[in-house]
Amino acid sequence: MQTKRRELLARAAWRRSLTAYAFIAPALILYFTFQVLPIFGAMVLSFTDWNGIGFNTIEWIGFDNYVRLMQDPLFWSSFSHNLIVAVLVFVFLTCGSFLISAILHAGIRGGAFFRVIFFAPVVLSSVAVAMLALFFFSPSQGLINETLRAIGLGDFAPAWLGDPSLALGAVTVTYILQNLGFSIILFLSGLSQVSDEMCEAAEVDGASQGRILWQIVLPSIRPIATVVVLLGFINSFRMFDTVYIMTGGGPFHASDTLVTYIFSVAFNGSDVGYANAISVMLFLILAVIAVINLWLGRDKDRSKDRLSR
Amino acid sequence: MKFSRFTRFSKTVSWLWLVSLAATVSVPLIWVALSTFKESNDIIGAPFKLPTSFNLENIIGAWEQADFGRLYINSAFITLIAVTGILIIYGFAAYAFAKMKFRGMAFLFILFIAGQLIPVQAILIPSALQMSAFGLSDTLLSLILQYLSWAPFAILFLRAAFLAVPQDLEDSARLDGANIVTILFRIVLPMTKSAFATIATIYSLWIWNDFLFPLIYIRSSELFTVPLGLAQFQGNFTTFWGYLVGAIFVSVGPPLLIYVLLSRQIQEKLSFAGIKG
Repeated sequence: MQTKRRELLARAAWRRSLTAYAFIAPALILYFTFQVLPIFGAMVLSFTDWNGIGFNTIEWIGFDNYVRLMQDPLFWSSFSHNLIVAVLVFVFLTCGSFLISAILHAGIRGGAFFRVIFFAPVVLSSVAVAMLALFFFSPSQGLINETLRAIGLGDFAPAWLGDPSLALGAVTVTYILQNLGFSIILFLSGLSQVSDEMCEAAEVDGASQGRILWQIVLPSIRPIATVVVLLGFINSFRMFDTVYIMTGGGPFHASDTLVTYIFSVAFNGSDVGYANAISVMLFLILAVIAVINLWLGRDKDRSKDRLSR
Repeated sequence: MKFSRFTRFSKTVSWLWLVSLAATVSVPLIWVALSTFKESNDIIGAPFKLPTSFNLENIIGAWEQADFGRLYINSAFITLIAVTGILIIYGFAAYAFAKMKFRGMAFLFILFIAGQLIPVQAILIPSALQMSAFGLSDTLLSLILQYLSWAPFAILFLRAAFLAVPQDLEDSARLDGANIVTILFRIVLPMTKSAFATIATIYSLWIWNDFLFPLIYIRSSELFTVPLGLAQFQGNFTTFWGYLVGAIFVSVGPPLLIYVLLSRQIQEKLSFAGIKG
């Protein structure tokens, strides 16, 4: 009796497991084949000198690509461009969108209209937005320089995308203006969950706006703020379309990001082994960012627990 | 509101700031919409002049040169198939992760979560290689397969939605003799409809606007997607100002129109993703 029952239970459990595996199998097969395998492929190729054409000349070169990467000024400059973009994105996109969403949340004339406008570029392809930006930043005939000339400031009209010191900035401005709306929406959904009574009570008690912000609002939107900050960083390191269309990484690699550099090394330089070494580095960089973020998040949770106890 | 109660001064400053920012964002779009109908020479020669006639040359020229009809069909085909597949495949997988117990669940779930760390930009080269090994290089199927494998966000998000469905409801249906199919389609699906709509919205945007994979996978122009076809105009930049503006108008117009009509719903869907994701 007992054993029979156990057997029946085991069979039922096995059948349930089988259903679950059947539910997961297609997802797992697709995901493993097209996402997980290629990252191992990138790791393997990064130890070779493959030129991307035939496999008869391919050779194992151990860590040579990684040694080369450490000494490659273009790798480091692309990496530093990503860092610059990440900082600009944090200051202007993340913090800016927080301020804007706070204003919209508090209520302002035309709030619904602003939302529609700020969010519109998010639904457009970054290729279209970047091509539109070309009209504005073009050195000789761009609208910005036309305007400067029209109001008599023609001498100051810079070459924008042709100027190594301005190209990355112009690309980043385009990128930020396109993606501002998404962060605003995320922050707004966070702010809608902040308890109004708590803010009012604090105000009655004479707390300043700054204290309310730091001690009530920010802690309650922390989960969503973490998401927005993390997305900002990760996307800064994934940036490709805007750069590729506006400058192609130029002039003289002045606006190359890691992904555009990978692209040009692999497809223009036929240095596929080396391009994969950079890809693996990009993977590691993003993994580090994510781990730091997880670690920061967990640490704060623990200290909050300690406080509440 | 209550947080950030304005003084009259800060309210004016905030308002001016938002107005100027809104102008910066919308002026380029308005400029394209107006310039499309101008003579090609006037677009750059007299950039601030309003169009004097309803000139359709730029739109027609761009449409014919890039065969935008074909681009739209390709993009729509890829997006439709991939998004439908994603909803079905990851709907089932997410349900299993949310509601079923099975050996290896923790490991498999971590595998999917860890995948969020893989930037698709890092797998470009091996994945292009893989597609040609499968005999799929330069096919729409290669793109569809790539998009179908964008798993982590869909799984995480749909799993959270399924977890919110009360277990009691499913259990009592099961006691009443309902099988898994009935439970899924009669109880679970109606309660998680908005989560599925959110995933459909977000993935449609990602897939429709993706540029990187078409750029790497596709060679023949009859298989180009909208962003890839649009990018072809960039090389001809200085010679065809009119066509370039026309091409931007043609590729930006329809999505913008859909957005304006559905902006409330789209924003809702995406902010919902923020809360749950």
